[in-house]
Amino acid sequence: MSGTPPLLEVRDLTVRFPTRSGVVHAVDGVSFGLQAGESLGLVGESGAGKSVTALAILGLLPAPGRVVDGSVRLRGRDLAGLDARGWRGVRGREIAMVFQDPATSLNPVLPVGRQVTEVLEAHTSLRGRVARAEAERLLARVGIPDAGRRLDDHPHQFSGGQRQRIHLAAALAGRPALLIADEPTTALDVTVQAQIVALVRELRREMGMAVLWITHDLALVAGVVDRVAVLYAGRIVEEAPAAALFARPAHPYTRALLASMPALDGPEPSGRLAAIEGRPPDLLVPPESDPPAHCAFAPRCPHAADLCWVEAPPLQPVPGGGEDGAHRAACWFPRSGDGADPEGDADAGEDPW
Amino acid sequence: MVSPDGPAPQRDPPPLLEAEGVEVEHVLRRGPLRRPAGVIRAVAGVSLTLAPGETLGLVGESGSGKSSLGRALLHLETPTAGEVRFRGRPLAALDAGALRRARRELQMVFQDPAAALNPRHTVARAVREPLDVHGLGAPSGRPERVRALLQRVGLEPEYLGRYPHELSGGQRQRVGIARALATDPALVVADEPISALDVSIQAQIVNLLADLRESLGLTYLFIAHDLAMVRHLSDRVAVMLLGKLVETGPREALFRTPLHPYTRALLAAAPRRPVPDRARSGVLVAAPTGDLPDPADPPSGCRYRTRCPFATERCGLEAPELRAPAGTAAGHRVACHHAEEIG
Repeated sequence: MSGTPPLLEVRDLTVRFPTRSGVVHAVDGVSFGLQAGESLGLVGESGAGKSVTALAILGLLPAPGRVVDGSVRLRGRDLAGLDARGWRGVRGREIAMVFQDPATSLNPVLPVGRQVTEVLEAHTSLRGRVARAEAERLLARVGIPDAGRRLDDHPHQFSGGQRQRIHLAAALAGRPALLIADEPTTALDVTVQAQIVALVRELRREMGMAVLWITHDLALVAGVVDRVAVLYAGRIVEEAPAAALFARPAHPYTRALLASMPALDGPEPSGRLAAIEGRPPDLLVPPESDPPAHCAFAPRCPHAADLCWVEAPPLQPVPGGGEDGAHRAACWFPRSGDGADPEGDADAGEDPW
Repeated sequence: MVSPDGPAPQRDPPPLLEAEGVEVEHVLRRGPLRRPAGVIRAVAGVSLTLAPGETLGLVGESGSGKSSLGRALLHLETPTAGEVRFRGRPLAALDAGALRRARRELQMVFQDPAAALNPRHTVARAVREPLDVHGLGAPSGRPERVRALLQRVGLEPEYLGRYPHELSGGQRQRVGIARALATDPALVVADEPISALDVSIQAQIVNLLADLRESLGLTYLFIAHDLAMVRHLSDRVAVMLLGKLVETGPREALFRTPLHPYTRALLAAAPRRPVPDRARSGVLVAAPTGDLPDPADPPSGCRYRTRCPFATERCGLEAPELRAPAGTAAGHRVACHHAEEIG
């Protein structure tokens, strides 16, 4: 392995929420790395642990959440030991985050220009008129028309899409090495979503910034990131370069999710969707009981065998998944090869139109 | 089919529901005192028909007025202009009793089942309520009917005594659907019924809607912003923008040869399910520029013109009406002055 540590290294991250009725095992031994300038999609349904992972990285877990095991390292430095002052040098400067709802992440009573210059003053040497000019440049860069004249306007004077752009401009003001985007387009309409996705892609290239893109939308992430990690019930069940993941999904959950999504083009749809029956498990472990040892997807998995009910599989390289082991899955019986799905993907074999 | 002894051709069955020039206005309130500050025409003159047993998918972005239209079609919100006819009779002309009877047949499924269900009522009570309200069946038979309704939507009897917070989102939506089915409706307006659900649950609910349509002969207005789901479930599709329909047509015609620049933009911007060995997946297509205009102050003429790459002077002066350009599939109509040139 090379001597330079990755930009971000999350190892065995384990987050629990002790509650009156038991302990919620929200994140259970999640490991991944992110090189400078790289982008990773963290995909999962609600409760899969994707947002909790992001908040744990930034040391912002809401009570009663606790990191009970594992580490988060930024350029090799463990973030666990940081004091308030240390975090100020990380949040907003090294790692910035944009959230789903810009209506709640922007301060409603502060002019938008001020929300950007605040970040500039906290994390750069820019002050006064110079900072204001930089705020104007950033707002113009994210696509706010007539940015110079709108610096003193308040968030409510902008549309939802524009507010998300302003939020992005404020996040980028500290020139972060890593941008964590937590469902940044979920509240937006599809045409505006496409604009924001394109904008983040451009900015990433321009600024050489790494991006951790958190979403429930497997289709969206396909066009956005280099690598994808699929979370299920607090664990990564599959991780691969984006192209490999979609061409040769190895984990039954990933395959089932892809198969359940109808297509926008291709042959005329007919019949039923290949739905995944059941639902994700409850991660609450009642007092005096142990968390289940079996694979969390086994109850919904059409291929579950005896072994799957005995022991949860580790995340390991998929046979035939490239010599570098970049394609990994947590399944005792991962699918390898060409990704042809015998489970009856109703829309298989479609042609572009 | 042509009858042997006359030229009169067999007509399509009469529509279950017809809307003609429906308008809905909302008073816009602004400021700390919520003073009236203007009027939004959420629905600005929409005409459509629903044939028995068909599913019409209604798509559009937020502020397009699609939910208001759905509610106006059921007279849950009385249209400020225009007319809705159910089985040929104007809903506005019905007396209270007749309207109540019509209401049984016109039901709605909501986006957020958590908000649509009373948190203090059990599943059994929630599903029984419409039976009591409409006095359907003998009271002694209602528990059995409730059990049958739950079974129909895929919920075991063990859920009868549960409260909404004890259910998952998908289960709550099943309860919402059971409630809608209680009165034996002919038409169900499903307003974003899957958008609050997890991805792995969405397909289950869409399958349930399709099964119920088949077994009960239901007619649906399926309001959604997920275009792929709309394509999957709908026979016909209508695209709405700022209160007006800009394109309607049979599903495949609309998805394969969209005629309106706005429909094309929506399709281009929608994330695509990645398909092996196909380069074009995810969001790769250039998105339309600009935000939606303020619904309270829509552009003159064509409502898409401020974002449309093909807009001309005429588009600002004259609002285009739905029409069928030559050579398009039967029933495929578009409201665009330039549909022929940009085709």
